[in-house]
Amino acid sequence: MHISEGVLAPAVLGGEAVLAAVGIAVGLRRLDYSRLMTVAILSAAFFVGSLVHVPVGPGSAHLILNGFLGIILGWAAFPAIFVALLLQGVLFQFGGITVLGVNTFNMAFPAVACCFIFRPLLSRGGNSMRIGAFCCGALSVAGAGFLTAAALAVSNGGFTRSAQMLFLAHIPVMAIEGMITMFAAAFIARVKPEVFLFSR
Amino acid sequence: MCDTPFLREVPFLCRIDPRFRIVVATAYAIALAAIQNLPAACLGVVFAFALLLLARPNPGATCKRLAIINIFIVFLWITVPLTMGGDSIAALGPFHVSRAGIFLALLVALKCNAIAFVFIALVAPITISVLAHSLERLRFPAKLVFLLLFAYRYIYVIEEEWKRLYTAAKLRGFRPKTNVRTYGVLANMLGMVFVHSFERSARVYEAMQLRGFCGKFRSIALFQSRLRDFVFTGAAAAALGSIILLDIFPGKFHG
Repeated sequence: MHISEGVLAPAVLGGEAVLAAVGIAVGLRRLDYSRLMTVAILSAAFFVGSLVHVPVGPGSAHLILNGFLGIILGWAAFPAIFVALLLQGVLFQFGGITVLGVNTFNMAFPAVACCFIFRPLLSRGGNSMRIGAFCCGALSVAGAGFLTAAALAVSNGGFTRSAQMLFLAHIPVMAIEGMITMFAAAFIARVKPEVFLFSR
Repeated sequence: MCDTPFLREVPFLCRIDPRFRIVVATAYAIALAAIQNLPAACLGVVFAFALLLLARPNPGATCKRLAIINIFIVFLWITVPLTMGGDSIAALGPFHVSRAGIFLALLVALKCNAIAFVFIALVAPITISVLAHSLERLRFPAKLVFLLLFAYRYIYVIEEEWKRLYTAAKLRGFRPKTNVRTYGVLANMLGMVFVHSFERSARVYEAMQLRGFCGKFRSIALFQSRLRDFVFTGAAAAALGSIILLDIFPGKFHG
């Protein structure tokens, strides 16, 4: 879930903005213009994918797909997620300028970390790849939920309970994201495996 | 889905140079995010609402946007006053409504909406291409501007592609339910969208190279700062200054 503006403490906003800026700088430094177009279009695909609603029991949840983007892009997930969030902010006023750094870091950092942790599993193919992809999808969402809840709880003691509820709400989404990431990665591995070579 | 209902020419505010509007809106958002007192937050809402009235955005679209923004605020209103503890002003069954919780939820709601008003008034009416070029003039990294322009360009193309795949699936009897099969089908469709996007990016890059793209865009939008831009920025700075002063010395203004 996006944190709205005006909720978090200035220290949290500033600190996470700096971390996000570092991530974006690293991501951009590793990209030359020949690969920038791929990041731009996959960022657009991420934007569209995160508007897809999947049924969960009687309701529905929208996908996040940060783990999936992390698998494909590696460090470049930082600028890609930043741009998608900036567009969401300008087109829908989801999130906003002061929380852009927080939301970027909270989503991109777990995705990039998972990509590096599970890379050995992912590159092995077969069932190992499926397990790695499931973990990437599920743990990236869990990490994003945890970081968001932590940002909320650290900002003001009064938010502690709300932060706990926010994290619990991420748990069903975790399982679904894991499955979607697993199936989608397996699909890409069959159809166009060179997509996974992009971040190597 | 991705319509831009705030894009229409309105007098005065839309004639202010977009760079000045972006800077003012950002400064306003940062200052309001840091505010800790209710009087200052109220003053922030008043100035922000005045800006919104000046910008005269489409009322229906504005209400819709504000409703979406306030979903998170409603979540905080439901949870924070009941769970924060401290002085209680009322009891709701086993829960106590805390005074500090109400204060916190109110403060956050005011700040959030004030920032939203300013952005709907100043930044939302800027087209993405003008926004990207303004950011470039404001020393934003060139590669990020490139990503922004092309991500925006292809959102609509990819959305169309997703809709086409989804329609095709529905025609073949796909009904989304809470089961693994649904997730598998959706994931395959998403995988397809990503594969197509990947292939498209290679084609687009080759096409751009053929046309001699060297990594730099030339904008036909002219950026020229005029007197009115400085007057507007000065007025905004004065308003912002008064909000910050009220936040630092809240007691002095109680008479």
